[in-house]
Amino acid sequence: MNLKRILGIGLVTLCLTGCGETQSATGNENNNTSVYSLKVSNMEIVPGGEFSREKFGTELAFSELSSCAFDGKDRVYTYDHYEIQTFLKDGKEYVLSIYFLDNTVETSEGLAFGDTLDKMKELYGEDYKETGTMYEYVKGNTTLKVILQNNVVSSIEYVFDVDSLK
Amino acid sequence: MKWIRSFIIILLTLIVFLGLNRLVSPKYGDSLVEGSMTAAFYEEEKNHEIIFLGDCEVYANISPMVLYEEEGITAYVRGNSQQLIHQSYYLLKETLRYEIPKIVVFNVNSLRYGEEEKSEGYNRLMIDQMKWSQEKVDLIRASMTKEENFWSYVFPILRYHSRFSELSGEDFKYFFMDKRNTFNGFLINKEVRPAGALPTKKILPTYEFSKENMEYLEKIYELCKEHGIKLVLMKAPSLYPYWYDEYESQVVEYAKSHDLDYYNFTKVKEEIGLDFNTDTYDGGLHLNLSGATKLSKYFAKILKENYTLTDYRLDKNVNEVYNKKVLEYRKKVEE
Repeated sequence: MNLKRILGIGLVTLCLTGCGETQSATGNENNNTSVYSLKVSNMEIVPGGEFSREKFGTELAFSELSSCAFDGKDRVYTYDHYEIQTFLKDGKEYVLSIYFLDNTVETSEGLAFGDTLDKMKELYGEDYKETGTMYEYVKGNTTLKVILQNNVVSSIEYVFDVDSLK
Repeated sequence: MKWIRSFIIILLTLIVFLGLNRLVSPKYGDSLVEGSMTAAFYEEEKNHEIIFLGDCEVYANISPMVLYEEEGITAYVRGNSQQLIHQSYYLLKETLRYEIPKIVVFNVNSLRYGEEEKSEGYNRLMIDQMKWSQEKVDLIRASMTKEENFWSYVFPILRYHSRFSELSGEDFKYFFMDKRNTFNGFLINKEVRPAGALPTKKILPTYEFSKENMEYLEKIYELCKEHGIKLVLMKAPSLYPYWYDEYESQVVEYAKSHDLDYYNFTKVKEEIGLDFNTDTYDGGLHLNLSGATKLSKYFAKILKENYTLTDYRLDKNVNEVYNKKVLEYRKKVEE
């Protein structure tokens, strides 16, 4: 093979190798038993699932959070007992996280504010990641984050793993 | 003669290869202009008495042109979007290759960032146009996410080859020369989006700054000390993300133990005259031009009163350079 051909092939190879493309959907649009979800008022909210403002009714408060440089804004909808953060992808809005605001809501498995560490372990087992006072349970591309203060649950949040879209 | 032919072929291949690398690299000229901020510094005259260091809370909130007009202070903002503290450290190290300022003002917001804030997008904005140096190599290594590859920073075509099908006029327009979009590192934003509702202030698993972040703060402190530079800490005024009391007490404690001045402008918003109905472009995260002008005027007085700074308006040569800049700045402000 002559030099010209080697260099030419090298250039083309470099141009063709590299990063991959992202997927087009989150994969959590429909209820799926392999991810966490929250059931409230006959509704099921799935992290990573499509968000519809109409479905949830009028929120108490709404805010849009810009990123420092990139286009697109995360949106936060505050309802009576929980707050939903969403992200936009391909023109559609998806649930990024669900954050509990009080003890009137409980997880689908029955965990609520004020419950103890023992109850959490009873409901979810001991396969968690512990960071400071936070316990994280992963199911598919969703994570349940529980924070305990003085041995009682004081924060519950479901989060969709955006990195799973890469 | 065969070797001459081979040499020419290699040389042409190299030119084509480098040209392709340049062509597919984002130019950050008219869009995503935040990517042009690191490199804008190289073209500046290096006579700054103050270097501001930090994330978007400095490049959106501190206007060196106002500092100059008000008190004759020469300053430059070396800030980038979501600039992590280790990135500030390496950027400061790089800055010191060019000049030794009297004061470095570090905005402490990035102390709260964790590993999850590492992002290729922001890395690229900060690093793509940075000049090659040991600091750049160290910066890339310390900043890369798990998915990133060092060589894609050396040969951008490895990362941006898919841009071949997306090339726009901007890629050709700024092929040979980058466009500069800031005034001494300050990015003008005149939009107004009043602060409205904000998300709930969440309970965090820990309020303690990470060990790594505190180590980099110490490195910044040591670097300044080594070069006889006074380090000053600041927190820009913002409504969100929340600056927790626990954060504040750690910075206050650090400043006290290192005998540093610390200015938290979130506490004096009214005194500065900030109105988050008119002085922010994104609902309270960053100040717009109007807000940045107010903050810069307020800070200019503090800097002049508390530190020995030269009034460069009295220096004919410097004043000549800055007069041109200020004129251009005013033109942009009034556009």
